[in-house]
Amino acid sequence: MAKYSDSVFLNCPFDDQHKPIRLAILFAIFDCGFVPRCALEVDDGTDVRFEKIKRLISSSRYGIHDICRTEIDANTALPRFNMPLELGVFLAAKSFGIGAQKQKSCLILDRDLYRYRNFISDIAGHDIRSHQNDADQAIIQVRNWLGTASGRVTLPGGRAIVTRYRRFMAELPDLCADLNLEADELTYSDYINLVSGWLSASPLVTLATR
Amino acid sequence: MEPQPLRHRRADNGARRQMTTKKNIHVVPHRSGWVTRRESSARSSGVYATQHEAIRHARRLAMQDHTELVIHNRDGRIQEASSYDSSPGKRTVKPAPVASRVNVTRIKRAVKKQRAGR
Repeated sequence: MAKYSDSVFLNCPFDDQHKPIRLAILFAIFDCGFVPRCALEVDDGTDVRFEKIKRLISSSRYGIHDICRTEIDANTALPRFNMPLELGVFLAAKSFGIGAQKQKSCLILDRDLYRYRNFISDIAGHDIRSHQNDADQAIIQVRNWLGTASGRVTLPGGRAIVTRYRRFMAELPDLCADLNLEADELTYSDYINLVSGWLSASPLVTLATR
Repeated sequence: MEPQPLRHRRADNGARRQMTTKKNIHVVPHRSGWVTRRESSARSSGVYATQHEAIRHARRLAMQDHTELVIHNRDGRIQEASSYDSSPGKRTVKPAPVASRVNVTRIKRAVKKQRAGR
């Protein structure tokens, strides 16, 4: 069971368009020595989704909220409100919760730095950063924020994580083939286990010299 | 400006620290405020008026000694723990919180096999 102080709740779009950013953020969280917690990790049809999300938020000290998906859905002609809702629950837990909940810290990501002012201006004053729809930028922002928020001195540098992430993605197809997995059809749990296993088997010193 | 302890019980001399490098640093409540104390030591290294000052001092010690900082609540329960026991780049990779179709041992073996084949 992941410790509260190591857990990072990830609230982001789960569509294919956002996949490069999502996979990069998950890698960065593991490489910084933390554990991502995400609604996708519980695959239990009997569990009410919102209860599951509340449980994950309550067991995570840190939260990364990517609110970049504001477009109208092509099928429904409506915007999706799940991400702002989960951000609200996280902020409420910090405000109204007791004990360890008060220590919560969150990073809000969007594709442009000041775009939020047009659709969710009430969050002004929080730690809002831009990933510019770029996986490398997302990694660097996550790393820098985790370093500041946790005060840990053990985090690798942002550029070092980007280098390792590129190498991991380059090795992923062969790794999947060896494990009888399809690289294009990896589930969330497969992916995070592959990241954790690959990082554990790849000492940083070895990687840095290659 | 570094926080100054209200009083020192013991000077931080090098020889003494050498013996205690691996002991975690605790910030615990005290009748005069807050104290910083090494694990399994009955004596405190400083007494501070506020928990914030005690944490600043304890964090510096934990970073110097590459050990853990454990912060306690007013009621003595652990409020937070941070690890400074590694140098940069030596952080511990945590296991994934959910099981996968392939276990971590198989993944590590596959990674090592790939590396060996190059």
